[in-house]
Amino acid sequence: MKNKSFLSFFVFLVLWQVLTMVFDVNKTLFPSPIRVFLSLFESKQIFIDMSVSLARLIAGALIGILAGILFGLITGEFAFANETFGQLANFFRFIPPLALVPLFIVWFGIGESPKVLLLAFTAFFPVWISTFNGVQNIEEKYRLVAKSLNIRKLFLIKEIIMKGSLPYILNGARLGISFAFSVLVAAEMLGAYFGIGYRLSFLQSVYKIDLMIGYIIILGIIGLVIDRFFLSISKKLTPWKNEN
Amino acid sequence: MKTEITVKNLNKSFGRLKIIKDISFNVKRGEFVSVIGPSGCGKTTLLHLIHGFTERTEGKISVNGTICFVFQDHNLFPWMNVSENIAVGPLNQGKSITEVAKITRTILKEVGLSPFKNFYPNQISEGMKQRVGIARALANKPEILLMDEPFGSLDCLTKLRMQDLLMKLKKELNLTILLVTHDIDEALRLSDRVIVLSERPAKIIRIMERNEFNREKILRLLT
Repeated sequence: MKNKSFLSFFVFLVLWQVLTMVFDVNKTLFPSPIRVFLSLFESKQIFIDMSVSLARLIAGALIGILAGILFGLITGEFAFANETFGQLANFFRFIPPLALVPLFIVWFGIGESPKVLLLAFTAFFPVWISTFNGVQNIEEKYRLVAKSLNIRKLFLIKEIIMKGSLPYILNGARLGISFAFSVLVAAEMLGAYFGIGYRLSFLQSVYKIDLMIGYIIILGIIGLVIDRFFLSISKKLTPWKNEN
Repeated sequence: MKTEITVKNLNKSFGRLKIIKDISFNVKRGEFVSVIGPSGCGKTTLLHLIHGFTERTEGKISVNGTICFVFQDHNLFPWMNVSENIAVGPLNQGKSITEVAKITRTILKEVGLSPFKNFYPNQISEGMKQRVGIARALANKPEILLMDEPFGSLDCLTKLRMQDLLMKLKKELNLTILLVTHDIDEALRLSDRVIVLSERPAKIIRIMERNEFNREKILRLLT
């Protein structure tokens, strides 16, 4: 299967190259893949931009994921918490994160805080919902076992609720980071001096399309790597879900 | 410490549905008592009441001794391997890692599952799962075991082996056992006494001592 996916990427690149050579296209607007990769190699900013964007993503996503897990555990396990705070959180869930950008800029300026907070806000909700569902889906029979073993509440939450919900939590985290990733570029376009989003906006203003496309390809690769990383972590942390 | 179960005038209803009607019996220390009755008559509910999973409507239950439950479908935690499932009770009790490891090792050896300690429940057979279920209960060092049709889903040969294991563990650990079963032969093979229940609402039809055991008699009582 891996060979087939590499083949499809290769075929795509070859087709792209051939099309730019065969058709009389504007090479500035529609550069060839060779031109795009050359521009990436020539770029002095790419690693700084990637590092800055990734650092923002990791910081924001980590805060959002941890907060989402905690909130999900509390609202999932304690009906009172869900009834009082769950609906309030649900209200905020439907606010598009990018709608908060102007407000965050006014409150926090255009430094790192508003970007990280925005990413945290975005990552939080899928993690909260998934964790909540995970806790609610812990079958009653496991709680009966816990009762029969006189298991204390904290031990129950740590060893049974959390571990039993782990597949849901990891799935939520995977969704959370991908949502945050999609918001990252937009957030960087609105107030940054480094980062992939900022660079895309700058490259558009100086008409450097080949490098723009290069950066977009880099985004795709980063997204794929993050997703694969999460899948691999999930497999390692949930060995009982693997095939016999 | 004296170990016994005393049930007196026990009644249980769920809303207007009466499940258990006026049941009284006791289980003495070291006894093996089986409760037998038709499917759906309230046997599991009786065990749940004795353990405290559900509240009685009327009557008294007293249990002298530490109690543990072995479930019909073993109910192993899928996210824990065999060793971890067994260690849950001792870990919860705050025992040290070394102590927990020692308890787990000993019990795994007793139930013959040492080679499978790192396997997950979805990687072992039904018989093995049931052994882990029993081992998990025993790791808590109970004096009384409540067992809800623990061998119901096993094939004949595995069932016999599990019954032998249970008797061996009972003798070694001086356990008091209250077993719910629909299998008359199992009840007669393992028990000191058999309590025969009627259809719902469950009442005691007869309590048989070992010297009175008779398969045909029990069948007649049940039909």
